Amino acid sequence: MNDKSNEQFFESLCDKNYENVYFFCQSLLGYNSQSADIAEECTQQTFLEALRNIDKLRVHPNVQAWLYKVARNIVNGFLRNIYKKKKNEENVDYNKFDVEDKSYHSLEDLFDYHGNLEELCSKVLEVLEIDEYELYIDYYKNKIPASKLSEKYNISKTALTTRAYRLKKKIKVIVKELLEDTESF
Amino acid sequence: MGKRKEKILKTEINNSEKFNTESNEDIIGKIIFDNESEEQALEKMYKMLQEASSADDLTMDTDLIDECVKTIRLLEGREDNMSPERLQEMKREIKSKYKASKGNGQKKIITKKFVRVAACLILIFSMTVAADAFGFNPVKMIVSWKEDTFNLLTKKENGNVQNNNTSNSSTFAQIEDAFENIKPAPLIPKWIPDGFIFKYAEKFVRSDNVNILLNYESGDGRVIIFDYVIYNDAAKNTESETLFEKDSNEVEIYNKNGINHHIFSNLNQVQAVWGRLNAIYNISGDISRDEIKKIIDDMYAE
Repeated sequence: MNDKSNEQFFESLCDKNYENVYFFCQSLLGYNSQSADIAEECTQQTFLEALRNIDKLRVHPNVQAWLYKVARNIVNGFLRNIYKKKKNEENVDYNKFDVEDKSYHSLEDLFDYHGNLEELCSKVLEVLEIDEYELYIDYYKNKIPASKLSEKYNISKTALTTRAYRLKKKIKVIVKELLEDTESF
Repeated sequence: MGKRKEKILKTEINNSEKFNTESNEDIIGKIIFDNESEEQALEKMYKMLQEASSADDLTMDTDLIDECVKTIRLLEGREDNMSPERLQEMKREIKSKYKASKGNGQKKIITKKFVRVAACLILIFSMTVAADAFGFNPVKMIVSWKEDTFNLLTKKENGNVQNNNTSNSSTFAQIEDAFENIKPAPLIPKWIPDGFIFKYAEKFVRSDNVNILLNYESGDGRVIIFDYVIYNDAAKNTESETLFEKDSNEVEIYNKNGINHHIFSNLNQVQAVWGRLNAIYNISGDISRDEIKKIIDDMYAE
């Protein structure tokens, strides 16, 4: 392969995957104040490896998986060094997540006493992306089993149930925002 | 409402009898009243991501990884995306690093590195040709230690630096999974000092050996790492030298089951090194010499 076509391949590789790999690294590191910078460094290292292995990658059957594998090794290597050097004692604790208290007790009350649930629910469904809406109908409305839907969406059953779980969370967030908007008037 | 959404809605109306569906109010109501713990859900997502990402690149479920990452971001309240300008900047930086690393790689084929250390434990091991009763070539170790300045010979291939990141590696949540199909089965830890828990195992498969790391951690940030290098037949007739830095405390030889275990310390950490059958064992951690001996004793226990 010539340099120009390799460069085009690399450009397209970055455009398609850079953000995903970055978010993947950040999730492996856990979200905290330092992880964004470290994830950026790990992502750069991953794509540097990709550039070094460009000929191999051009014929690889699953480029995204290759990138994730390399990113995972770089992140693990980084964490291993942290463990070995014990830097985590003072500043970095990658096993603690600053989870906010996102209890929905008040949300339940607000939902319960809302005057027009039908209108609220159609607003919620309108806000959903088209793919999310389709999944809502298939999974929550029509209760099609995950095994069948995984075939329809061409993803694994676990990936499908994870997507459905995320949809559930998103619906909660939308309802909360809509109810808060209503309250503020 | 968009055309595709309308189409889905029409299909939904047609299917409503077939599926005997609930109303949207009931469904969304159930979702709102489902009070599962966000923290537990997040923990589950992180675990799922770890497991999914430990697969090799031919069997990895990248869809599942993407779903986990998106869900974690939603639960963490992170919905910011990367700007196209930032992406361009990153691409430029990577290319410039690539050019720089290519240049460095061509400069030196063999470099001599002088390292001044307080003291060293030198471990030379070799694989013999004759197989033992197990059918494996046992590792023969020659161990010495002294205070000196050493020349370390480091070989690099021109322009093609061997990088461990691209070796075949996996991460495991269970120790047994990391050692699956490895024969003869290496000794695994059976006792660990109080307060330490097993975090994860890593396995690096190389042409002539498998390197397995077991990582333990305590709540106050102390660590214990078990480092196994398990050689295969491809390592026959090879000799290698490994160097461990040590402080001025003497190397203690702890004999157990007829095998000499070399115990020493460095940077307030205690280490043990020994060879058994086709494997080299190294334990290092923020523990005492007595604790490392107990770990060794229990590894041999039936």
